[in-house]
Amino acid sequence: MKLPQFELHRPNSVDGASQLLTELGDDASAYSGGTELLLAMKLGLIKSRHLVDLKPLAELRGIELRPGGVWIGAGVTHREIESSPAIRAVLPPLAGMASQIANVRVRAIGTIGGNLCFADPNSDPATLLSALGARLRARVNGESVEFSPEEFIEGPYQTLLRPGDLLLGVWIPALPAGSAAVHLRMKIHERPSVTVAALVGVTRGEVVAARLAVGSVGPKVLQVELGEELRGLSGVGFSTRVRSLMALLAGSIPLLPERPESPEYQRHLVRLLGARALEAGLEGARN
Amino acid sequence: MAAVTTPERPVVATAVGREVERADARVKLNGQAEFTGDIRVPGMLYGAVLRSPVARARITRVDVEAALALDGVVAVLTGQDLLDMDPYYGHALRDRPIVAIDEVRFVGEPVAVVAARTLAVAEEARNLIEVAYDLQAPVASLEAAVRSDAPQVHTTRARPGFAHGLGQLPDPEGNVCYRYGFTTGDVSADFAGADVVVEGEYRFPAVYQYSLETHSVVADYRGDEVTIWASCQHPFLVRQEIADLFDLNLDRVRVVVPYLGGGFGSKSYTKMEPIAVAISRKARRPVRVVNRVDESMVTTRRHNMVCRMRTAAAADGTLLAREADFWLDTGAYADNGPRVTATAGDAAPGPYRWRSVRVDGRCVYTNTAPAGSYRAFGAIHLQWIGELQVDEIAHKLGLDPLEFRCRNLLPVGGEVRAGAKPLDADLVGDLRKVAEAIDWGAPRPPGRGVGLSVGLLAAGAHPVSMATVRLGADGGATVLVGTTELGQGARTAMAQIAAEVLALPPHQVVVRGTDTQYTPYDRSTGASRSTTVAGKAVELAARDVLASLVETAATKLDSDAPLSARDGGITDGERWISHQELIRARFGFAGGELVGQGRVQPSRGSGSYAEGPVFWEVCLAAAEVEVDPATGVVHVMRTASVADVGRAINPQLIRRQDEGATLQAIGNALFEEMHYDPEGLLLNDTLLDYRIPSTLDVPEQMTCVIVENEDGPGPFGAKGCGEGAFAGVTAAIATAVAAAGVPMRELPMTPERVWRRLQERGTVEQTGELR
Ligand SMILES: Cc1cc2nc3c(=O)[nH]c(=O)nc-3n(C[C@H](O)[C@H](O)[C@H](O)COP(=O)(O)OP(=O)(O)OC[C@H]3O[C@@H](n4cnc5c(N)ncnc54)[C@H](O)[C@@H]3O)c2cc1C
Repeated sequence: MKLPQFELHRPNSVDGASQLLTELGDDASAYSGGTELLLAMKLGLIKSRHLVDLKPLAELRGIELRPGGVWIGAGVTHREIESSPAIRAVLPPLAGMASQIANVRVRAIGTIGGNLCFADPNSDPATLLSALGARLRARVNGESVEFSPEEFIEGPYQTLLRPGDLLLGVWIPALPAGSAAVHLRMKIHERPSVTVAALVGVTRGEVVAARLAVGSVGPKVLQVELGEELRGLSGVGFSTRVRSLMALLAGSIPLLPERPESPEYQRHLVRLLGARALEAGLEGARN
Repeated sequence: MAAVTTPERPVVATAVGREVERADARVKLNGQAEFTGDIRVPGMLYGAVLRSPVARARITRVDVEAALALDGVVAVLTGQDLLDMDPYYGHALRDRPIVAIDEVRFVGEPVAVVAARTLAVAEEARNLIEVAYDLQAPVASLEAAVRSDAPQVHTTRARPGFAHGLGQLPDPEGNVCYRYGFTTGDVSADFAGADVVVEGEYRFPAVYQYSLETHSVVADYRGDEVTIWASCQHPFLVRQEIADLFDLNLDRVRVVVPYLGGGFGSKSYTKMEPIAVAISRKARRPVRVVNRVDESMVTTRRHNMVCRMRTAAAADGTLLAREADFWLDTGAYADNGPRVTATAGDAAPGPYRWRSVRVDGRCVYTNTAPAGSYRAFGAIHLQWIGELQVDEIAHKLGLDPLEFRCRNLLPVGGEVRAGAKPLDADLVGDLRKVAEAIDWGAPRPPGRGVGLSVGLLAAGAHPVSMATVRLGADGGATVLVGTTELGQGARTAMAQIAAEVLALPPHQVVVRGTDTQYTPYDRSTGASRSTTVAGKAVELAARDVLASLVETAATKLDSDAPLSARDGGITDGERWISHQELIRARFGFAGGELVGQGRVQPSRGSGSYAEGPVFWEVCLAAAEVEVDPATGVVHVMRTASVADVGRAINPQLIRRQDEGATLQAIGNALFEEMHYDPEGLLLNDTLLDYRIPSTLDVPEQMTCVIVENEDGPGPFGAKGCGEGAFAGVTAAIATAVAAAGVPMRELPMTPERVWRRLQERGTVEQTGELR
């Protein structure tokens, strides 16, 4: 499998890149780490004759700790996220999630933006970002627009970006006081088979807020607010309610067709990992 | 004559038993090592193979016009071009045409080949070839193939191939192309009288022998000669098969083998060479044919299998009898299926003292990709099943699986199979060593399991190897031996063997790739035979050189004392003369060289499979696993394997062999599986969908216990290794998972399968909560 011929463009600004991509239309692709793009081109699934390199664009780089949260440029690699002291301090589950993606070779060049824009349904970041209430900032039709991860990813390999649009970065609000986030996933093949993420907030030992996101099983990330359902609970009461909620959710969540694992087993994993994530979230929020 | 002592006598350490630097390490690390895919011959064209998209069909029309019209295309080969020759090959059964003739039998079967000036043009032209297929219902599984009304994958009977080594082949019955079995003792009486009987039906998956380098060939057919550069493990067998196919004399076929990027059996016998030679013959130009990964996956694979086994024992802990019926899916062409079947049959009883045994193995055609050799074939198919049953009996009788095995294992010299070489390894001693390596008796928390496994693999193949050693005037030596360096370190080991005999530093001995034009005959690189058989030939060749050196030294030193090689020269214990000086003395000027020949041939009988093997390779291992009952995930924590090598020529190379085999075993046991749909289409034909083990799957602890009893038939008492751990560790993982509470009957033990088995057994709460 050889890479077909292509022309590489190196614009020096996001504006320039966007303009180029608009002009070239369907014949061009934005090129970040290339871990998905080049593979898809080798397999003949993407036939772009022009690649517009985003790697040199400083505007897309950088992890910034700002009041109220963290900004991560679309061009930041998983490796940079996993080893960033700022993220490790403020959002340890995000660093932990990044450290589990693929292998070190992919992490060293693959970017968070590339992951989100490729929109492979078997993916980790979108699920955690959804639970964290992150906002994705994109340049759409020349304007800067914000989306939630669930809005941004419309379905398998489908985002709402059109030729010329670019993802700029991700804004992740800091964890509210008294809350904890948990990311769990199960990987059987090269990609995650089930990804779940929970954000749980407590006051005086009792749940005041809870959010669960489930990814990698369905066509897109499913986010559910469970604050109402779990409010005021703790201990056995919490566990019992979590179990029945997860049974309900796992039974009804849409699944991707033609997965190597049976629907029954996938639903089992959703139920299991979802419950584990919520339990761990409560535990974490209390400490 | 005056005493001769050269003042600059070096100190040369013994070569054998040392972890010398690999001869190929530097060129491979810096990217200079040459592989077949790197070779460019002047005038060379690029080949692209058109493969069948359907599993079973008649070809009604092939239209190559548009392909030929494309600029840059030189030739297109189809089945119609083979009418002037006998185009069927296969070392076991001559059942396979070079490209499909009139019908296709599996998805991926070559239908046509294009030769063009660039690969891009060749591929484009390939896509322009139009083929009309008259579809027929495929026989895509073992179950479908053995039904009495099953369509026949082959309607004509194939002739036996030239190298199956299995004596008179039985008549095929339906889709069963080969059958191997034997009975000893009175099986029904022993089962009737047994206190415990365990039985079950088991399934083993088709797997891909992944190697970094895919099958690669450059063929140059000129006049009545052909030169082939190939990524092949058995250059001399390829030479013979090509000579037969194209009706050439053996010495008109030259096979050159550079480094191989792994093989594991996938490059044994003949694979893509006939296609490359045929298209070169047609194009009258050298042509390069290199598989993609998805093409290699349908070039050869490991046999999937269904097996029914039962085992009987007495209440006092004596194993009595075993019966095994199994069906190996060899795909559309036999490839090495018959040999795999025989080896599996021999592995079925396991190395225990049985009163009676009945084994019946069938090699079955289906409309799937052909299956052939893969490291530890046969043994890996049956050992995990037999060992699971041994554990089940131990469990029922309340006996410790280790002691139960030790009590029933064959002793040294025991009869493994009637007529075959007696057991040449101390299995009880070996088993206790691996048990110790994983703290067999230590208490374990729930969810953990430790398992043992013991088996044997008939190793060595046909024991015919030759070697030449040339000692140059500068004291450096070259070894010519047909062993293929495929990453196992053969060139390093061969250098050490010659160096040991001649008392040279190993890096002063050069071993290059095979060129059948110069390299003397060697049967094959496989069956763990090279160090033992080809290595013995190298030792003998070096001794031949040594004899010449000693002869010259005896006259020079005028000494009656025994002479021996030491420090790059010959000594009588006091005085010493360098090899260089002896060569100069012998030829009278600063040139010339000493050439030694070594030859290994069957020492007893004909060397046939029935009388073999050269040695029994032990497949013996232990494993500790952790099973997550909530998800079904199995984690392999520790493994231990035995390399019962007689004498370790290079301990480091041996450990690397067992580690590699252990990782492959983890893949085969836990996740590797080729998935076919009912139409015979391979669903996971990329490395994204077919996961192979990586460094992330390495257990926390892998121990390779090297046993050196100097009891092997090879050089310095060596015998081979490298395959046993694959069968041993696979089975030990299965027994360990069973010990953790999940006796599985199907490999791979995927999380879902383990979870389902736990559900069936009702050992977990439906919610799957962790304890
Ligand atoms: C072997 C392997 C294992 C993996 N395992 C995991 C895993 O366990 N979990 C997981 O979540 N992921 C996994 N991945 C996916 C991995 O995270 C992505 O490959 C990587 O993040 C993609 O980033 P990239 O920079 O290489 O994207 P590229 O390949 O450069 O781009 C991907 C796509 O996004 C577009 N694009 C890129 N950047 C932008 C932008 N700023 N604006 C608009 N469009 C853009 C490109 O045009 C292209 O279509 C795995 C991948 C591989 C190859």
